[in-house]
Amino acid sequence: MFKQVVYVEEEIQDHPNTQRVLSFFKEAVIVSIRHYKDVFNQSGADWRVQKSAQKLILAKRSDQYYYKGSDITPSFGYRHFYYNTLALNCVYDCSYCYLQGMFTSAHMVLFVNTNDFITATRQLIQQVNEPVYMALSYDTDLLAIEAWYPYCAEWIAFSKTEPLLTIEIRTKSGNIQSLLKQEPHPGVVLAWTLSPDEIIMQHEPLTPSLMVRIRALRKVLDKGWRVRVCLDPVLAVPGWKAYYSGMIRTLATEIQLGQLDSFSVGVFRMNRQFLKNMQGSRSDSPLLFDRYVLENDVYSYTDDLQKEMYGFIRAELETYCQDLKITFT
Amino acid sequence: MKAVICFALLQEARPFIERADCKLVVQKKQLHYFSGNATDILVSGVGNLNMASAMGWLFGQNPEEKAVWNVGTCGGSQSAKHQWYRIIKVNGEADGRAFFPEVIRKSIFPFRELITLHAPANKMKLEQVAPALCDMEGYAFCRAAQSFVVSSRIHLLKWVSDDDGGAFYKSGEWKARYAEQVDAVLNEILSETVYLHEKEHQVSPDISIYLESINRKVTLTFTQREQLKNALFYARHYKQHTDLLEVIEQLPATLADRHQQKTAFIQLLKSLRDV
Repeated sequence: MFKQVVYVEEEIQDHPNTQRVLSFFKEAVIVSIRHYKDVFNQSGADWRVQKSAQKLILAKRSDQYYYKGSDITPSFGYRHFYYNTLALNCVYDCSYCYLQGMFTSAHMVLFVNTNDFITATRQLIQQVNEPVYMALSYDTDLLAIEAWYPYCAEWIAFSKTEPLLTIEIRTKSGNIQSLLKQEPHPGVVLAWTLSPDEIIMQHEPLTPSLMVRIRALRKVLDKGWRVRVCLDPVLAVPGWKAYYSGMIRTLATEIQLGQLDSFSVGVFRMNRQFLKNMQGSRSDSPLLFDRYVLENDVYSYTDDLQKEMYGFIRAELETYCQDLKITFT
Repeated sequence: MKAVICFALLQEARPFIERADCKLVVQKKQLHYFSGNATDILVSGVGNLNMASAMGWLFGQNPEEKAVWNVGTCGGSQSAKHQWYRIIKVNGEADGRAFFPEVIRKSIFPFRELITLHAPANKMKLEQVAPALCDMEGYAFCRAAQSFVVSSRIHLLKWVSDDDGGAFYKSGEWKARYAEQVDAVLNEILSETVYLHEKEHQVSPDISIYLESINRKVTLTFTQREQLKNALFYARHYKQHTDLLEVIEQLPATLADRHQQKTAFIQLLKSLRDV
């Protein structure tokens, strides 16, 4: 993160949440902007160059406080499956990340009007009057930036007031201090994305190692939180079987797999246009140029390879525990 | 990638022309173009229109990769006089929009906003827009350049000459103060351009040698060329240079007909992806 400059929308310059975030960027020059899209959607940006000096944009979201879940994300059996975007883009730099194909900018936007998101979600729950599943951090990693603004703590507190609400906080972070300070709540699913170290080193720059992630999830698991392990995306890189087998062995050595709430397993898949955009901006990642097949506007591995990958992961997991709840995407 | 430093006035460009040892290569009315080893220098003439048309001329010249820098004097009411500033936001008075230069490294110069006007700003105007600085070309420079290059190649560095509408210019005393930090400004421009070049190219492994080698043997359609590029980007990551050449060598030197070409091409793609 390039901490010398922070862009702030005029309307929220005096917002207490803005001031809270800016207290972590004391050296920064504050550049006043009319709307976050003036910077975020500026034409002609080079994604990779921007990422090398990623800047923070503080903004107010004025609509679309949540979205219906995408067809290529698992809904975990919920009829009302939603996700929201409290932030756009991520501090990490995973080479397979769809955000590179979805947004033209690498800068990170944080929406500071968090109460508006919460109010809208409360209204949604009242409207449907059935269990609602809200994924908080698909377009970012909120736990990784919890020190800048306590989004996770705020939403955990909110979920405790809404019995029909289940929230998912998906992360690769080892930053669990704020979770350890709070009492566990069954309406919160902490979902850790795990990858073999070989893949972390090559394809997940800036993220914590496998062991840091496992130790973090073990600590919150021991405290009584619901924890899901996400093996998503599983990548068929050369040697993938040995990598994933080793990772699952490490995980099973560190924790009882049966203690986990569930597993979510998905192979690499990508919207056609996103993949095309990504290929244009980063030819350094072999992942983006692998042999994929296009089906329903989504690129992924061939059916045979997908079956092989899912079968392999299931068999590896069941080596250590037979009675696991595994969702395949 | 070459840095092209763009000025409104020849007097502003003069110390840079001398320090960078640039030679005049083109003169068309107000437009002057100087070329040097490390950098080129463009002088556009005063005002938005002159700058915009000079940028159009510049990018029409040759396809060489360029990063463009708008450098020169500006007015400022609450900013230190005779100080250089790195511009972080450029406001266009005419359309009320803004351009945000992509600063990618810590600058030795403080950051400021800039407002581009159509006429010299008097004292009252400068006070009204402070702490932003005022000039007469910056916004047109950015918008015109944006039509040709990515936004990370567009930058501005401005020197606060005065706070009273440009009267400083007549005395000529400003020149010595202006030239004092030419080395530091040039260093910022050149080092950042090198850094930018490295950043842009570190994500693009060079596959041109392999493409050319294959092109000599088979005539590829646009789609085949794209498929080949993808396979080469993939293979380049896993195979050594010599192994890749070996795979390409296996492609027969002469292929009789289209069917044979197609079969050979499919086999080549398969071999490239076989890791």
